[in-house]
Amino acid sequence: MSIDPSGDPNETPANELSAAVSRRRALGIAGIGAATIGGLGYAGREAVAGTEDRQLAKGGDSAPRGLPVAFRGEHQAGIATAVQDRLHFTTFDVKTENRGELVSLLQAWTRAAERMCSGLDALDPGAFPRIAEYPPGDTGEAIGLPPSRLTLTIGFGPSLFERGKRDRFGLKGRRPEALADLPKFAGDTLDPLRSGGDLAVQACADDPQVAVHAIRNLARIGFGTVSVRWSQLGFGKTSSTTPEQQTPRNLFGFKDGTNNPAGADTAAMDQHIWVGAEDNPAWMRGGSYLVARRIRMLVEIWDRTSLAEQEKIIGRDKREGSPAGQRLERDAVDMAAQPELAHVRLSSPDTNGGATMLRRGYSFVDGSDGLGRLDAGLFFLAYQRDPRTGFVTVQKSLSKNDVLNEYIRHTGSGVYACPPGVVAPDRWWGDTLLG
Amino acid sequence: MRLHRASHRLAAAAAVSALVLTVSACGDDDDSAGSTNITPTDSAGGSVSGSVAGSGSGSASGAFEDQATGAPLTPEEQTAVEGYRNYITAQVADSVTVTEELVEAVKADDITKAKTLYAKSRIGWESIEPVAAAFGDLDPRVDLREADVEDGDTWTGWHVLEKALWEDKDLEGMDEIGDTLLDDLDELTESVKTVEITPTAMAMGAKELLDEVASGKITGEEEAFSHTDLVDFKANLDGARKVFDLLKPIAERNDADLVKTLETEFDDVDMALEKYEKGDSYVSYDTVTESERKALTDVVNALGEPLSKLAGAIQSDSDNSASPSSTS
Ligand code: HEM
Repeated sequence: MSIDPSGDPNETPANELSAAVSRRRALGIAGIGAATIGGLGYAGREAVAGTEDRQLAKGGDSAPRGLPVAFRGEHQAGIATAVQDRLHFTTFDVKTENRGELVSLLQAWTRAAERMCSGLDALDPGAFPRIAEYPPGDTGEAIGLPPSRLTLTIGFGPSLFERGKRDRFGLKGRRPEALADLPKFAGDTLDPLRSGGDLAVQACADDPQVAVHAIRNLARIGFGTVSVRWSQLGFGKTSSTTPEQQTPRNLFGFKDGTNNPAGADTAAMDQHIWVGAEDNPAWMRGGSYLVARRIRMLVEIWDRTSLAEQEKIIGRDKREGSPAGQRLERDAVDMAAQPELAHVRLSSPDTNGGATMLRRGYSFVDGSDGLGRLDAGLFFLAYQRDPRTGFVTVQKSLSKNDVLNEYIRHTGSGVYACPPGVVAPDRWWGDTLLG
Repeated sequence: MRLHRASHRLAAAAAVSALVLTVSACGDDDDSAGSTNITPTDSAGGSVSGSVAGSGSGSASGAFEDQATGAPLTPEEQTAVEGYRNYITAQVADSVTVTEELVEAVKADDITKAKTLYAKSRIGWESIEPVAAAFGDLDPRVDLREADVEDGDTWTGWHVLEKALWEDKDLEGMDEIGDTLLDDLDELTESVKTVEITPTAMAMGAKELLDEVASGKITGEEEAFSHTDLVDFKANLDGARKVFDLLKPIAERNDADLVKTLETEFDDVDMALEKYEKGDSYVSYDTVTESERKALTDVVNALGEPLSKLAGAIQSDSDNSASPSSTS
């Protein structure tokens, strides 16, 4: 069985095969050919298409559950990709002052990321080095799990370019204007330890363990060069980029992501999400800007709010998801019927000079706070061509007027420039900037 | 307060008005819809049955439409409404009196005296705040917290004085802030005379007062410099209890159990607060430990949950079987 219509498992590069084989041996599973393995549950992790083939795997974005999403492509995976079930988002501070070390790390990360996205161990040798006196090259918790549509998406924060006016890696002049620091919005209660970061990696997968495994191994590879600044787990997608599927609900119980651009709508993606072929700086062309906000939701108070009030605050019917005054979820928003300060009215492109983002957020519950309240919320992730005319415009309108603000608190924040995807085998994450 | 409630109320008045205290005196053009009196039956009660969108006027999205006509208040409702108007009038008057003293002390540069008057001047206000939220941006003008100020905003109101008194310990420029606060409170005095009050709005307001406690006071966010959060807490609580007392006869008929529960829970919160009394006020909130705050949260939740059902329980078509209760 081939897991990738365009990839022939028999063409698996030797080193990858050996990793696969060593793991298989340790598991005590007989069989060597990928075809044999393919019949087993963890086929996705084991069988892998060659790099050349994978870049052609256009179907990757809509890969069935369990199967790999193509790592290589014109755009990074994890943006237009159909939203997976789980998130592990992590930011890093770069510790080295040496540009060469940073470049080596990004190269090593690219290799490991590609391997893990296709279901392989992070490194070769992997979880079971031939010489047992070595620590395992891969941490091992994903052994036997399918690739689970893992995507890894990297972004560069403003502080990578300059920290307090200091040019760190000769990048100051290359900082995109669109990567401006976010202004302070009304009501912001941001925790500096949950904000910022020189680098950000978004790991999404259908299996939380696969996402965590990926981040953990990248962090391990980065020791000495980078250190984890903050990270966030998300368990339930709160947005959809696939209108044909049922829209998931957020922790306020409302369908979320109805009016989100579809990942497959290339015209909309080109217009609003991807940095265009004429946009500057050139190194960002084909990339996108990510805004991340950790938004605490005061669920206890929300739950005491009447249904009518909840619907008025959002501007949509809770059961069906239809916009105020309309019948069905997918009916167009009727501004005349929207309550004056409804979230939908205030966030709509129509009230924000056309500002459009691709939302890709997740719900979280980080246990409870010391007061017995759930530390729950929405980890808001939005991609756009330019945050100044995207998130910032919309959040200015929301932070002033949105009634939802009585029930939420923004507690963390970051903005990152996500470079274009890597296509050719010798390319790596960020090479358009640092190469 | 946080920024948004005020404008929310204004908009709600314009667009919905089912649940809201509205101002007929308010000049905003959108407001004409809101100046019509709303009876409890016009409110969201119907949504409890979960009507599907689009099924005509009963649809849940119908709650977004203005259905602002309907039957006049029953005599019983009338009594509750009058009682509440008297209450808010007295509370606002009290706030004005103490704030005048506060501003006097500020002008005399008497920091010590001003500090003793600060929290007291807010009591009347805190007990009726959801009503004030109907008056345009009055609420943020008098009660905006520093965290809610956006780059480029002008910050006015009580919390500016609070910061000057406790943090800066310098009253430079505060005379003007004090005068503006008094002007704004005069506006409040005028506005409450004509504010439209419905029993549903009262009940929703009581629930919001408890929300204020749970989200702002318990965490110490409201009085970040003076730590007088417990004074506000008590005022919020008393304001909610007043509403409950006034609506009790109506709620009793539909849901006697709820009334009994609310009585117990109000008493419990009062008792929990007593522990922190000090002189004629309360201890500074920064001396209240995490675990004590947790205990306060627990009693507030125990009250907030049933209190959120009061608005439903006073609807004329309400009986307790319609209430989404897990316990009864
Ligand atoms: C916890 C916080 C939030 C919650 C619970 C929430 C919830 C929702 C819900 C239920 C919808 C309607 C369904 C849909 O079209 O997706 C929606 C729409 C939307 N939200 Fe949010 N949201 C939150 C924060 C934000 C933030 C911070 C922004 C951006 C600054 C934002 C931007 C949008 C946009 C652009 C839409 C689509 C509006 C339209 O075109 O109809 N949301 N949100």
